[in-house]
Amino acid sequence: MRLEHAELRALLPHRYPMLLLDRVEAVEPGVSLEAVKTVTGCEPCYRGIAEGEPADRYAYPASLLIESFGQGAAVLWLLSRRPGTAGLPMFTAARECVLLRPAYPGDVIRHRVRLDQVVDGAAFASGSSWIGDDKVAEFGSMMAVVRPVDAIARAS
Amino acid sequence: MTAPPTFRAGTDPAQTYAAAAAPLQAVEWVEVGAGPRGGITLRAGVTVDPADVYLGGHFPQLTVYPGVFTLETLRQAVTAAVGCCAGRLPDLHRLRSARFLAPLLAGDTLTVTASLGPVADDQSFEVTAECVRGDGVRAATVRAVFRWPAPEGGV
Repeated sequence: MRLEHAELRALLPHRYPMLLLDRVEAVEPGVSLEAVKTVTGCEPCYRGIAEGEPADRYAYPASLLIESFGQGAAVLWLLSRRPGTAGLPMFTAARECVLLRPAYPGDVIRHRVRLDQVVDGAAFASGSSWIGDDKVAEFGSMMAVVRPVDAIARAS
Repeated sequence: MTAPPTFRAGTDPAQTYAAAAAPLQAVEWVEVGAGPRGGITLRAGVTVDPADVYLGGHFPQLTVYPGVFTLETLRQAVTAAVGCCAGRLPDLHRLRSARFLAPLLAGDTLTVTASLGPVADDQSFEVTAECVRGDGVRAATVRAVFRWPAPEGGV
């Protein structure tokens, strides 16, 4: 099964510029997924760099790479949830994630995500991110929950 | 091999933001102090601004400071505190553990308290951080390894 960007927008509450997946190329709901994110120089994360900074400063932020992988995990999980369980997916924990090398504008990042378990409404995922044949990140464990909007607002 | 650098303080958060790609200026102020065994301690803070372009997409119906932006706040605080080594900025290399315990919404303040270092021979250093919301609620805990990347072709 393949999901185009319109279908990702229907599944995820994230919107530009925080919707950090372009397409899901293959998914076995509840089991595994392969998703693509293309890094482009016109993303807002590049807007603030001072003129004349060297090439290494254009490394795609690790925070956004992790978020992009996490959105792949969210899609994988949400596809297997019952309809009518609406809310916002919240990233609650991570363990042993390693950033091996940065991505740059023009790179196509491919996330390979596994859904390891779902316990008491919390999902645990793991996997890796690739640019071509190079592994650029490993994700030992990422945990998320879905919370109703009003419950999040009350918790603050 | 380049000798392990010592920490140096003094970079302005706005300069840190302008020095590399970043989704937002995730630090407004940084204070740096001496730590044990050649390491340092830092405190840094930011207020969640719902007008930020990235936060507008997370989420349209309710602004929530993403957990990964707490990591971004920590990265920019660390960068502001330790500066460059051989022209390279430090970056997050290994996230040993992170727990996001309470949401940060529009107008909330986030204060990070962290201990860094000392610096290892491979130019990496451990960071342990606690993140607290303005009302005193613990929002996140992070244990991570940052490092200055070796120059291209370097070791």
